[in-house]
Amino acid sequence: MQQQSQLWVITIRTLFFFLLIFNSLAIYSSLEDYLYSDIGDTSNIHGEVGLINIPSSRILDEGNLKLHLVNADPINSLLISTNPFDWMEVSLRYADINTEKYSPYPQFSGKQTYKDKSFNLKVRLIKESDNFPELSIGFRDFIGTGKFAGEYIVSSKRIGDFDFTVGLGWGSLSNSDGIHNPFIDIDDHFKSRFKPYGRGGDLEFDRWFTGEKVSSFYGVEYINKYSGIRFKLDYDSSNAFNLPKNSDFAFGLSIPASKFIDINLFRHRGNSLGFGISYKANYANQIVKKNEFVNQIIFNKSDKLLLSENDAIFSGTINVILREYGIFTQEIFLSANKVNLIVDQSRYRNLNTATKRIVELIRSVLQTRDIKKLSITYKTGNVNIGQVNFSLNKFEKFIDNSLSLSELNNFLEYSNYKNIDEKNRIFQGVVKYPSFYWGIKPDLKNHVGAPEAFYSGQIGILAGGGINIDKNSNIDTSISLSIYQNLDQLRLKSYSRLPKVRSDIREYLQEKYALRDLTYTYISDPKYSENFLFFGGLKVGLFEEMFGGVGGEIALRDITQPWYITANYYWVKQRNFNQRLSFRNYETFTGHLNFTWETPIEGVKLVLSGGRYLARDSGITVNMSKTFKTGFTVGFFATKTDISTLEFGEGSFDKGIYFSIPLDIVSSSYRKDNARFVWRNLTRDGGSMLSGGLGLDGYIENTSSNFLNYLSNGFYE
Amino acid sequence: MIFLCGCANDSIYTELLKNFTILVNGPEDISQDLVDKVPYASMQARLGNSENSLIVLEEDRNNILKWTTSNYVKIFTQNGFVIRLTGLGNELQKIDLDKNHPANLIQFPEDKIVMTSFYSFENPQLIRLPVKTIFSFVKDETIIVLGKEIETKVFKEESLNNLISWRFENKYWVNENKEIVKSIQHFSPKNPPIHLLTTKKYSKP
Repeated sequence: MQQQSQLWVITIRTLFFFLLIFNSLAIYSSLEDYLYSDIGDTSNIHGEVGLINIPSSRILDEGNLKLHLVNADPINSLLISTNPFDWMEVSLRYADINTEKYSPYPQFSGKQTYKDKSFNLKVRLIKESDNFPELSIGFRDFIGTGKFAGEYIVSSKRIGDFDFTVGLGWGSLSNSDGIHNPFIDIDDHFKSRFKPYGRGGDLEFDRWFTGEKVSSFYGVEYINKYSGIRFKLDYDSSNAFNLPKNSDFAFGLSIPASKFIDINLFRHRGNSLGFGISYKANYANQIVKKNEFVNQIIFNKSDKLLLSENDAIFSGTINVILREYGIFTQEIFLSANKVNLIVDQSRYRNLNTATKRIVELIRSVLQTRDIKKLSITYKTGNVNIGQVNFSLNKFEKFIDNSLSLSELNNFLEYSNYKNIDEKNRIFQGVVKYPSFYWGIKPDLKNHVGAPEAFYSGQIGILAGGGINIDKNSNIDTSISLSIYQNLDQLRLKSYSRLPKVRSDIREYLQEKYALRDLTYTYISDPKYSENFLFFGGLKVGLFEEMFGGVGGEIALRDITQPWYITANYYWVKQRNFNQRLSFRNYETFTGHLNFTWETPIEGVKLVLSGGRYLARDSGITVNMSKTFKTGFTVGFFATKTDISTLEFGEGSFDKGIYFSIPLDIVSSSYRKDNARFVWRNLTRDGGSMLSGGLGLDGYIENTSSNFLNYLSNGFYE
Repeated sequence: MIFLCGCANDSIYTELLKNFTILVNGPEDISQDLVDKVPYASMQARLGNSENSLIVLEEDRNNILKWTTSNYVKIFTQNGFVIRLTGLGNELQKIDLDKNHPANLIQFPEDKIVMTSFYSFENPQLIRLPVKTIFSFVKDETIIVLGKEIETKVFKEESLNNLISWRFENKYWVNENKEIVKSIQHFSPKNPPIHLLTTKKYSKP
């Protein structure tokens, strides 16, 4: 009996001990979050999130953009990868392949080694849970020359500090000693990957998951919580380039150098050391917190009396207060307890932020007149693009944190602008015409991967300026001045079966001093209605480096609808290479009907453009993009026209991806500027559009009620 | 082929130049004009090497002052020592100060003292992390605040070994009234230190 009670005491003590331990662990379980800064999953040498040679099923959070440089002799790569969604990873690769020459003809490309551009895609199919691993499917070099082409299915499971990965690879991820391709049992066409040589750049669905053999790959990653260093070990039996190989195992380290940078060191093929460095940031989140000081004005009794009785003082005060924040009052209408403001602003990317700022700034002025309703109309140029109407009292409650955004939304309405009774106008801004503007900015020109030289470029200055003749028209110009350039090493002439509307780019790039553009623009007074906004314009002059001419554009949109239409038509003539006022002989008509749809998927926009292109080919361009709430945009475009892939040349059809990074993401103040990067496979003549046109979509994009609801974060800052 | 086209106007270059100047010379102080515009008690504040901004006193509750910024960052101070800071991604939820801490004693020791305070953080959560610090006098120094010279004593508070190997050194400039007029205080291992400078002193009503 005594023994039994002793046993109970020991058991209770033991339980108590373990409870204490678990309790302590619970208290300190979050210690590891403060022990090191986890930079998150890192990339393999192919730019995919993964180990060393092999991909894992992991995908970074949406909004990430990563630049990755890998030295894995004899193949070195520059990679850019991004995540439009948290289930999708897209990467671009520019590879320098030192096993072969750019071409067999030294007189063509000298000693330059082979260069290859390719796209990779990875999509997560199943998200990891406590019991099930994550599963993803990937396509390597799925639009390109196919040098790296391969497909894989991969699964990863995290257990404690270890992340295990296992997968099956086809194409470049397999070898001849692999296992039987199970898809051959379904259909015989999976047996052979061989295709007659094409132009490259096609989406060759029928090659996917083909080949006699499939190879397995696997690996493990250990994350050290005290340093943030990731130790990687993988097994990969593939050898797409038949490189000397002593081992199928590779091992290495990923070392976090900062919050944004990681350095990778590895040994692979049993005989080669390599390294990589990557810079990664998530542009879906504001990197630097905004910090705009909002000056609260307190009026004394006599001020309040003046503001309540004198329209000129009332409107003038609003005008002065808003101007300090880059919001320019164009007109103010006052009727009963309602104020209509028409403003032009170039500071706030998100119109909801502008709305909030206006209320914060002028609420004390409006209170002197007991204003109940406020309508703000946003104006771009001479176009009132739409208005937001709300109860002032409710909005103030929202600002004072006594009303939630969902409650505020019941009192907030976006509508098309319609003409306001002029007799209620108490203020109209006076703009003196003509007005002048000018500015200078750095001008960079790059040409990467030419046969004569890997990189050619120019650093210069772009000086621009213009005259606003009246509210409808302006003259605009810019001149580029070279400071340093080595573009004259581009000596080879382009070859094209089509009119050389873009492929002569080298000739244009080499000009040291150029008149970039010189245009006269006229935007008509828009037609406003409760149900739509319709406006148009004309443009004449030198639109861009390569073309000048005359043409027009129209736009139709209803702010309450998630779509709008624009159409343009231009007669253009090709400019001389020296980019002064003279032209070459080539001329044509070009024009497109563009349908923009803001899809129900948050921030995803689809633009379909059909029409005639610069090389007189006709077809359609699909442009799909995702805009994050910060303004970061990632998208792709592809154009297919009525020319054959043979006529188009290498690449088969025009395609590319682009990023637009809002510059204020790293600034504590607001601004609308973007840095835009476009990557296309090759510059070809087929499917080329005119640039430098009126671009009326720029007036109305991201301002529909649909998009402003999506951008509701702007109310919070 | 990569094309890089900046759709920026010249003002972004002005900001770049400004940021570069901050890197080289440090950020500019808030002007007397801006301080005068605000009728409330205020401090100049900045995180790390960012630009200075003005924060104003929102509340005094049991001698704990709550300061607010235009972007809703809230800073709570006790006798000039930051004890809570919210509104950033990673937040200092609370510091349970050692009973001998100058914030509790309202006096600054001439000799070194060792104290243990407990830090609690949010996002990610970490509750009552014990942090041992050593507090000591450094030197006398004359500082200039809004063009006015102030004689101060400089103290430092250095962290000792702790569970997350958090190394920091806080600095305090204390005037003859035993008030902190300027400080550099670390409040979380995941954020840069906050630099505070009293621009308009709070006087209890």
